[in-house]
Amino acid sequence: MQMVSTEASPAPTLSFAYMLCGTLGMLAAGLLLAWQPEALLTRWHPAALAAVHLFALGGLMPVMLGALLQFMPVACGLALPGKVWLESLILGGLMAGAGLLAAGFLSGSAGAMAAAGALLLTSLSVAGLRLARALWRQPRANALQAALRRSTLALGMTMGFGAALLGILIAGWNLPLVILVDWHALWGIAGWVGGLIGSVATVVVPMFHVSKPYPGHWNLALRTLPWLLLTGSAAALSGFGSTATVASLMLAALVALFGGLTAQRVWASQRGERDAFFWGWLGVALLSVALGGLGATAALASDPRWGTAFGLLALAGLGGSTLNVMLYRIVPFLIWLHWQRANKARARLPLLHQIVPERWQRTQLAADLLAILLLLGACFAPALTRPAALLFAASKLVLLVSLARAMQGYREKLAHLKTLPAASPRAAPEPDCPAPKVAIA
Amino acid sequence: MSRLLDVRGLPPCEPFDRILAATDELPFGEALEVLIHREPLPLYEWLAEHGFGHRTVQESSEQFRIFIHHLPS
Repeated sequence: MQMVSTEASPAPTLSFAYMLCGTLGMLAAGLLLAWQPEALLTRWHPAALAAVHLFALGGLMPVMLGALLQFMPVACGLALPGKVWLESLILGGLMAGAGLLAAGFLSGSAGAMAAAGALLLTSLSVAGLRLARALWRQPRANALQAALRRSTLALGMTMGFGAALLGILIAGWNLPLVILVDWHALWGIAGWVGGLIGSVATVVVPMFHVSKPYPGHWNLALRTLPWLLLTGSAAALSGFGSTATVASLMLAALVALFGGLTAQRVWASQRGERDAFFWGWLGVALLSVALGGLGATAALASDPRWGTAFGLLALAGLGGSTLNVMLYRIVPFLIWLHWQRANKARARLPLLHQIVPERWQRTQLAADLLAILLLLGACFAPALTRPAALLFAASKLVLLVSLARAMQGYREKLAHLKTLPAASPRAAPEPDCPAPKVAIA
Repeated sequence: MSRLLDVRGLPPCEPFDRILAATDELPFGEALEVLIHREPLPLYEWLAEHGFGHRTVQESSEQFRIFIHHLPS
């Protein structure tokens, strides 16, 4: 049995800083699209490249890293040791790097891109190596830890492809740009983001929805993920385009399978509540099925707009929406857990679902879903881009405010709990009057 | 002497909440026996911080039996 020490779970405020910054990054990407709606006309538009990296590196990445700080001890029993300076280096480097990279794409400044590259590669190397150290220190990895190892390797591959692309942009390296861009994106979204979501979901979906576990064949399917990416990228770089297409189609099938299995589990939830969390996860599952269809279409169709739509749904749908829904459980859970740890007085505390109001969650998730559907439409009808992007930014603003309010409430109640006197434990029963064995289930 | 608490199949954070409520009622010298469907790693931190010891027996991949008792102060 693996024990977790008190030091293993870092203060939730660290994770909250990551999560708020990430939500801000997603909001900024939405505003950028609203400012330059022509970004969706082609994936090579500077504003498209800026928005994608702002969303992926300044949005998804901080939320994922912040969540892993807490998820690793709770679900894997593994600590991610950190100091404030280390977290500042990672988060500060990530946010500044994402902003500079976006500015570099928009202005075409090689200096901004070089500075962004240095910041991003440093902060992501530190974060990735810390994760790898925790995961590989275990002599034997269970299915979840093995999946997290594969995701960490995918992060390394994404960074490698990204570094090569920076070499092309800054130093004019003679490398195949389009192939590197395609597989940099796929290693990032399928290998790192998808791998992490696909493995974390096997824990959180059955746990929070009280449904049956994912079948054993899902873990087997998930194991093929890095091999498909490796085969696809090697084939593409070696000129075997059809093999790369087959690998892309198999990746599309994998995400559709994930969507189907997740929808099945959410729909069969024994929790009995049809709340925002239920509908949010069901939405994510259906978006994943749609993403599989779009991925297959993009791999086979000659119209590049399908590729733009696929990238958008992968980032904002599979990545953004899944993290969005998860935040509505991660943040209240952390708040509740750390209140309980400080609650020596054993005072009554708000319930988990009362920490972020249900009405806010429903409104925000509905706006998020509608915005993503409109953005998908905007790939084919450009007039939709600005309203869709504004709605997307508004939904992320509501998320940001909801989370910030919950975190403020956390700090206030925590301070109050610390002022209360500790409750006294019950005394032992009298020896001549033993307490009976009681079933209180 | 032990008290039995069955929290299998409950969504987070109900098992944790019920276990905490049961520890409030747990007299010194007695044990609380908890049946749960997953290993509650965060609970162990709480128990250690609030003066409780525990012993966990994994009966299957989906059933854990945890014995909780007050530690001598």
